[in-house]
Amino acid sequence: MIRFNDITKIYQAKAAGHKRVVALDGVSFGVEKGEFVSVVGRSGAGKTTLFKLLLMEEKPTTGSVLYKDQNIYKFKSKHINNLRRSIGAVFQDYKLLPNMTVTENIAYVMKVIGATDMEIARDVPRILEIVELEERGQNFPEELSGGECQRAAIARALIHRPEVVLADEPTGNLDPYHTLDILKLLLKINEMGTTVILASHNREIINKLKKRVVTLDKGKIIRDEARGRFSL
Amino acid sequence: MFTLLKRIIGLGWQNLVRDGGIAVANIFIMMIPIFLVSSIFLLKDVSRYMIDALQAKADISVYFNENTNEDDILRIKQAIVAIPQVNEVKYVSKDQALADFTERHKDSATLMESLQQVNGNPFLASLNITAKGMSEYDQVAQFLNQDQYKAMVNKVNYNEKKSVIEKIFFLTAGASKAGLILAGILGFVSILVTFNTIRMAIINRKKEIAIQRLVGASRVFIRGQFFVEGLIFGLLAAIFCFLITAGVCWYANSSLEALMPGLSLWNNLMASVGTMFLLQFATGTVLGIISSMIATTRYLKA
Repeated sequence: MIRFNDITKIYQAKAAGHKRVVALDGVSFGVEKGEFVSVVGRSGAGKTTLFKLLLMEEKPTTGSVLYKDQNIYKFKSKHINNLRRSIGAVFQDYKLLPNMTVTENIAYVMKVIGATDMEIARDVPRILEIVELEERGQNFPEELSGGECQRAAIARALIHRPEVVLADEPTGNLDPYHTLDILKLLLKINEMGTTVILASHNREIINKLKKRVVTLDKGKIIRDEARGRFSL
Repeated sequence: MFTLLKRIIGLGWQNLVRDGGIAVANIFIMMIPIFLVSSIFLLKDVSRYMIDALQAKADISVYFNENTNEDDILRIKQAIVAIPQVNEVKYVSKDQALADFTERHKDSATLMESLQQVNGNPFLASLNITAKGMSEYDQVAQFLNQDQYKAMVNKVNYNEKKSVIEKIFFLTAGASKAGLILAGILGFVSILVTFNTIRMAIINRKKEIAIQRLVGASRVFIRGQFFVEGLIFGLLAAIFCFLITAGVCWYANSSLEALMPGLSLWNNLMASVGTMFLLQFATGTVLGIISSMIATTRYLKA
């Protein structure tokens, strides 16, 4: 379903004295439909860059990313929108719209995909209940804790039942209780057929999942195991 | 399509309300060029009045010999009126000239005494002519210089007044040009200020635009919200400007009328109230929409 082909991403030095950064160096791997893949590695290993490339937030220096056998960098604007709509992304920095309440943030994605008002009214409270934010629906992101923002971001990523879920450190700000719940939720949607790519440096979570693990180190894949463990 | 439009309008309005402070600042900034356009529109009446008043002071007089028949003078008057670009020809009879002089100098004992000593009416009948430009005065002077009128015409004061008339026309033409140039410069500056303010407001929201793109919102969906915001900014700025303009015209009307008899800003505004509002609305909305569109284009590339 998704294929990273010999991806290299170099961030050029922006000013004198700065060093260029090789975020990814010849990375190749594929993700099948319905698979649950954890991408692990230390901070700066290239996990977030990989997600940015798939969402076309960045372009690779060399290499290509295939989505359903099509090179996404040859997509026209309309196809880029469709690609992004088919992916539910949980960002490390949440990326919630600051001028919208939690409910509005979640509903925004549904509005973008053209869901009816009735569907929005039906599904948004349901997802808020799942992530235990029903009391916070009318709050703005700045009024929420880090964990609540993360759950709101997860709710937004899942609301439109995307084909792929990209979760970049989705439990980074959560307490153990909510961490377990979010993990269960990701596993459940994966069982229902959604492809999940999870980036994390939480050893405990990865080991508990018993799913495929791709380990990145300094921008290179150093391990790709079908039922992997976090071992760095 | 209707749902999309409804959502775009809803989100545009929501953004505007939630960013109230910035919205108020934008509206105030947009009021500057709208005010400028309104002022140019209103002040054109005032400047026209002043230019006309000044140009009215540029006139020439033709004096007729004692024995010239009044019917002949009126015939000449008709012929001069027929010259294109001649504004006004006023006939002043001998008696009228005497009456005017007496009225004007009734407080001057010396002049009144001198008049009595002359014993009779020393004034000549005349025509006072005002025209729209220097060339028309030349034309009138040439017309009166024809042989058929030489026996009737005593004197044309064109040559004496020529330099004064030239100066008046030079000044009024210069004032009109200077006004236009000044309005152009001010207009350009205020448009730049407006563009820049709205651009800065949108730069503050570039992160928001990027997030909307990342969740799959189309350019039309995002741009539409800014379009709606720009439209509302323009509309509100135009309404506020219109109310303030009307207030100023109403308040200043009597004072201005005392200074410039026959000129009523309020009546002029009421006579063109639709045009004025349309002008303000068009300036506001065009500025609001174009500046929003230009500013968002940069962040909608990816």
